[in-house]
Amino acid sequence: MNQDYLVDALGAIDEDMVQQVEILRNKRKPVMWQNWVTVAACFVMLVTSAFLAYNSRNKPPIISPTDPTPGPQTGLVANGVYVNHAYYSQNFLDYCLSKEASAIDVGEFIGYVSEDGITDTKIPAYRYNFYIEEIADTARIIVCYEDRYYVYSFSDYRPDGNENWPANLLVNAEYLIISDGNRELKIKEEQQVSDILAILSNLGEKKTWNDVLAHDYEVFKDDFLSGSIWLDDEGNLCTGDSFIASKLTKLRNEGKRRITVVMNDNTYLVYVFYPARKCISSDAFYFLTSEQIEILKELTKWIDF
Amino acid sequence: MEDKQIVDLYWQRNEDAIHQTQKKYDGYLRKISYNVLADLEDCAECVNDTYLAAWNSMPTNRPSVLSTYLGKIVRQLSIDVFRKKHALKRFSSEYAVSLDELPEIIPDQTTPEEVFAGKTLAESINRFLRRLPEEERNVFIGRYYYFDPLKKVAKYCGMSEGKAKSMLYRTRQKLKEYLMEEGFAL
Repeated sequence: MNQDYLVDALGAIDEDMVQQVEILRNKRKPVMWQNWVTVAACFVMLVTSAFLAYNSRNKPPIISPTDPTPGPQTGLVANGVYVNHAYYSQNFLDYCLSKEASAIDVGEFIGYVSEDGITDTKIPAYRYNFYIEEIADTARIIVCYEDRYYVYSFSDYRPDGNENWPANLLVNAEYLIISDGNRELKIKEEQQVSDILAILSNLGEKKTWNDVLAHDYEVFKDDFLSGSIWLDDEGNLCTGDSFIASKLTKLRNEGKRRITVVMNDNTYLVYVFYPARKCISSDAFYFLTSEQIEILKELTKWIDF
Repeated sequence: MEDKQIVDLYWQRNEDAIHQTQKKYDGYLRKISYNVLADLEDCAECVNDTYLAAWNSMPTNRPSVLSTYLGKIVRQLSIDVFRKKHALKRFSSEYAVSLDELPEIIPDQTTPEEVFAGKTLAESINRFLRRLPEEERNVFIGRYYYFDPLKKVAKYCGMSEGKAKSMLYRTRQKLKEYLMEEGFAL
């Protein structure tokens, strides 16, 4: 007998024994997103405010980074009073996103999920970003900061007929929720959201958009637009350039999620489209000092049931 | 698509059967073939020949697990190609490496003293494997049926490479003794 006979005979091993090994060979480790789905199911979306730079019409920013409000408001952190509202009696996840939102949808909205998380933006930990979502009559702004997610809910907000979101929606906020996905800090109804926004405005110094571009350019360079673009009084993106208008529409229809617009005054606005949600938001990026990070962490100390 | 549905397509002589087979098993078949041939072009040819062999063998055959059925075909085709192309067994494929291990069981004879019916030998090997503990059997099959690298076999069998290596050695010795007891002259 030579080895060929042996090799051929080994090829005739009964199938059930071969199949056992095949199962072993095809076993895979759980992929990251499966673990992430479990994490995402527990967490909550959050808030932050969006700041838009206005155009040469010199409209003052809604929240100025130079507001003199000094650090955290003692009223905020001391009054952990619960808000009794029908909205929040529901399962938190249900009203953080629309009911059909999947965990992957959540990931699309949040820039940074966890250390092992999968996100489409991969924002560094010292930055946070946000998106705006309309839930019924309430605008919800969701901010991700480090591994926490904050939801700000604003009533009395209406998108216009073109589904553009006014930049000044923040001033109409009535109440506030902060949550880390498992617990909620519900702020007293009459708490002025502007206090919170003032805190946020002092939490960081707005860097130039060049830093943003350096981060995003390689990924989004095909989406950059430049030319005659401005914001109207409500912060809607306007252009007299039909090419830009059609490109914006085209990008949006292609499902592009992030478009960076170069304004005339060299201010860059990053517009994020979420076609499934029919909303648009503008991202602002803040760098936080260690002191400011501590201030933000203070807000979460009161999350306790 | 489930295997049963694909096999039905073969029986219906629907050419989509090959497309579906390719979609589901192309990578799997290429891996087996590559373990033998270590050449992408030869692998591609063997895999294509496998699809042809599958088309020609179904109907008449109706395998319940298509992957094993196809795996067997591509394995044999790849070995045949290897034998045709390489008279010498010194070749850098996992199949060639595993061949280096087999003389412990059956010393290679350029002119065999006896010819055994392949079927008898296969039956004996099957009986032998069934007697083995599952772990040993899986390692043996992973190495000498799929020609997977030892490191890979160790990994999916959940053991260290060293353990897999020594386990294989002992199994080869046991197989040799078993074949001699069965009356095979080695």
